Amino acid sequence: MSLEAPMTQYRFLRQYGEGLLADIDAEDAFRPVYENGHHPAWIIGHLATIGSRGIAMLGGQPPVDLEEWSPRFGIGSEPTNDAAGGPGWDDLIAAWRTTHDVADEVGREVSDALLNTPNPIERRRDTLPTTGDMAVFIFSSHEAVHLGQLSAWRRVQGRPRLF
Amino acid sequence: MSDLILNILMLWERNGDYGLALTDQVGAEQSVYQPAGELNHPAWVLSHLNTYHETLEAIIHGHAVTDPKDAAFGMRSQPVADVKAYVSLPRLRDEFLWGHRSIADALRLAGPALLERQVPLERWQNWLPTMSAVLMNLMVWHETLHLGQLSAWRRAAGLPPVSILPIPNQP
Repeated sequence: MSLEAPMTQYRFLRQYGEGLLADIDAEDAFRPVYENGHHPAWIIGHLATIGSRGIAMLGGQPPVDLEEWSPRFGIGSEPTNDAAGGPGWDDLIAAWRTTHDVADEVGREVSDALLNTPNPIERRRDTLPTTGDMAVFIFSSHEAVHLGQLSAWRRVQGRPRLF
Repeated sequence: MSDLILNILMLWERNGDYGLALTDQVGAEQSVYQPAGELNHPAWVLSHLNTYHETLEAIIHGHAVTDPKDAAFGMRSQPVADVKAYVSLPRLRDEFLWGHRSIADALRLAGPALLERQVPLERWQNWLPTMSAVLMNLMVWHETLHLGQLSAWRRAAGLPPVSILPIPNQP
């Protein structure tokens, strides 16, 4: 198995994400535009957290402190509407970028043997049986779906489309 | 079959299930409801994705490809809050499901020559230089991005969230 295709997609998603983030400042980043909506800060924090989990799964060093970030940004978390007690907007963007950089490196070096091990997230094995399958999902579809939510946040505000 | 195609098929299957789950039990008027700003609603999203299914079929089968950007629900279109502007949501869902199955079948049967073909549209060639990039972007990034927009629509409309990776045997 190879991660070349999903990592190529992940690099593309970074470019796309940078475009979505270009005109979002700290004042707006924690603001949902409808009740219970995901705002940019949660989305980017979540992507950095789950991306870091993916990196750890592949034997790399996760860029974010997963114990600290998971309650606020991990699976099952909900957005909080201010930065108090957590990373600020600049730190979130930096973490997301670093996650992309590290994942890119780790993705090139990971062995077939590790990719073929059972998915360490047992409850996901029905749909994503191996570590490699889970990594493919994290570094492509997972990133894309949440960037889609970010694009929706922009549309509600009438911000320019990228395409 | 190459790792690329296997990866794409796995993610494509997730998208098929997810698209149906996101639009399950959405009524006719609700399907064109824009709860906040100009959110892409279910009728537009599925119409748009189904348009790209036609493009993918043409690409995989080696037929002439018409640029989807100018289609009725192509890139240049905008969602409108008018149920008469779209075919019914049940029909859109059927077409979405059929498109997913048909494209998956075609991709499984397509040989390695598919990936050697030239990118069919000139305007794609700069940023999607290979057929691999075209397939990955249309079948993964493009579709999943729009499904993410639908997940945002559900939240804005006050509907319960749906996971792209549901846990089996859990509601």
